[in-house]
Amino acid sequence: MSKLPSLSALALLLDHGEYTATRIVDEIEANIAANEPQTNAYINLFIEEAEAKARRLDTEGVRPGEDKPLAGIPIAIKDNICVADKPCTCASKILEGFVASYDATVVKRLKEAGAIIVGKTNLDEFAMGSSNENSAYGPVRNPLDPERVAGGSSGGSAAAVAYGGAVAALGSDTGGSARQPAAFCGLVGFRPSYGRVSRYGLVAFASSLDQVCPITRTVEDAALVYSVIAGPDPDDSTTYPSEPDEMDLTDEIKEGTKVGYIKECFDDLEDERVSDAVLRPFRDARVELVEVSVPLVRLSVAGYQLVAMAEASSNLARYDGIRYGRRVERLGLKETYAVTRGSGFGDEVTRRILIGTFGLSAGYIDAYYNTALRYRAALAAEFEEAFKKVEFLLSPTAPTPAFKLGEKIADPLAMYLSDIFTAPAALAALPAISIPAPDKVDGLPVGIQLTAPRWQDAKLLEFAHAVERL
Amino acid sequence: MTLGAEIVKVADLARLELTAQEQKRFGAEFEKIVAYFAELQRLKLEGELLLGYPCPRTPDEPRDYAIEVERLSKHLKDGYFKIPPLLA
Repeated sequence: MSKLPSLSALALLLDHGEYTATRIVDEIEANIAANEPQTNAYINLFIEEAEAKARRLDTEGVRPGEDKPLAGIPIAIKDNICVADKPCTCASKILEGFVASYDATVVKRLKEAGAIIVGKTNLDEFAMGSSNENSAYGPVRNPLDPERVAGGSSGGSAAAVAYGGAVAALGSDTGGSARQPAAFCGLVGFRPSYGRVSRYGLVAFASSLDQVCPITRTVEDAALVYSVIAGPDPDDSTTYPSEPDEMDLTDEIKEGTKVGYIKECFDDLEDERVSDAVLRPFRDARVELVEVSVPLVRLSVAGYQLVAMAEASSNLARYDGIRYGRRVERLGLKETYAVTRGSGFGDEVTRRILIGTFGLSAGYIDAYYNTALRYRAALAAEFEEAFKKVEFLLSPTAPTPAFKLGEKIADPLAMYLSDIFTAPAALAALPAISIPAPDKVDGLPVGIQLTAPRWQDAKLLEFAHAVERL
Repeated sequence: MTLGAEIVKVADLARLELTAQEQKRFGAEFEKIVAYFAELQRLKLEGELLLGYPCPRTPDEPRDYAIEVERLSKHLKDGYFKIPPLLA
C-alpha cells in the first residue's frame, strides 16, 4: 500500500540529507488526496500547518537526533486525543463545536520531539466499536479492500498509516482498539502496560483500561514512538513513576525463549488458516513453543464489556449539554440533559451507557459490575500463573481477518466478540502487541498477538522486532 | 426483572431520552447481551475485586491550567455557564 519508507528509515534518510521534511509532507498530501475520498480516515486535516512546519524544520536544518528523534515526521492523532486549538470530536455529534484548549501529554511530547501533526483521525464514537462503523463522520474503509472494515475503534489511524496518509499514528486501546485495526490493515499496534503512557488529554471512555498506543508500519517504529510518549506524568496520577526501560532491538531471537500459545484462543478459532498463519513463523524459529491454558479468556468479552460499559456510563455523564459542545435546550434542566444526550449520542454509545448504568444500579451491581471485577482479578491471576512457565504468550489478534462493512453492525454481541483475544491483556493491564503474520488469509493480513508480563514492554518490543523478521 | 423490561427506568437514570421505537429495539438487544454477560455469574467467583490501576497512585498536586471555558461552550455569561430553568 504505502510506498513511503518506514518511520525509522525516513529518520535515517532525513538525517543523511537524502530526504527533506517538505518532501515527506508533499508525499503524504498526495496520498491523502488519492485515498481519502474512499477511505475516510481523517476527520480534520492540518495540511497547511504541516507544510509550514516542514519548511521551517528544513530551513533551520533540524534533523532527527537525540533531542528531536521525530523531527520532520508526519504523525496522525486519533480524534479522542486533544491537540491544542483543534476540534476534538470523538466522532460524536455531542462534541460538535468543541475545541481543545490544551495538548494531551502524548501530543506535547510528540511536538517536542519534532513530529508534525498532520490531522485528527476517524474512530468509532468515543472509541466504542470494533469496525469504525459507529462514527458520526461515516465509516472508515480498509485501504487494502474497501469493501471491508479497517477495524476499530482506531480505524482511521490504522487506515491513514496503511495508505501512506501518515508515517505513524496514535490510537487508543481500551479492549483492543489499536491492536485489532492494526491487524486488519497489516500494521503494528502496540498497547503498553497500563500506566506506561499518560492518559492526560485522552478523552476518557473506560479509565481503568484506556491506553494511548502507537500504530506503525514496523515494530522499530512503534518502539521509537513509544520511547517518546512513555514515562511518568504529573498530570496523570496513574502513570508508573519511573522511566521505561532501555531497548536493544536486534534481529536475533534469544535462544531458548519460551513462548506459550494460549490453547483456548486456538481451540475456538473457526478458520484454521488463521491459526496456521499465526503459528507457522514460530515452528521453525529458535523458540520453545508450548501450550498454555488460560481458561478464563473465553469469557473475556463479558468481563471486559461490563467493566468498560460501567466506566463509560460514569465518564460520559459529563456530556450534559451544559459544559461541552452540543446543547438542545428544553424547558427544565433534566429535560435539556435527556434531549441533548438522546440526540447527541449514536446507537452504540447509547447502548453502552444504558447497560453500564444497569450494571451499576442498586440491585444489580453485585451480579454484574462486581462479578466482572472478581473475574478481572481471577483472569489476572491466571496470567500470572502462565508467566511462571513462559516469557511471552501468543494468540491471534482477532478471530478473523477484516470482515465486510455491514456484516456485524446489526448484531452488537457478534461485534463485541471481535475483541475476544485482545480484551484479556487490557483487563490484566499487560503490554501486548499485534504484528502482521507473514502469511495472509484470502489475501488479507492476519495479526500475531504477543503478550508479556506487566512492565516488560521493552522486552516485548525486542522480541516482537525479532519475530517480525521470521 | 430484566433490563428489557426496565429500559425506561434505566434511560431515565442515564438521562437519555429514547423514542418508543428505540426503547423496543434496545430492550430486545439488551436481553441477549445481558444474558451473555450473566455467564460470568456461573463461574461463582469469590475473592477480591480488581479495579485496575496497577501503579502506585501519585498524589495530585494543584496547579494552574490555562483552560479557557470559552472553548468549551458558547452558553456562557460573565464567565459562568448559562443553564435552563432548574424546574420547568
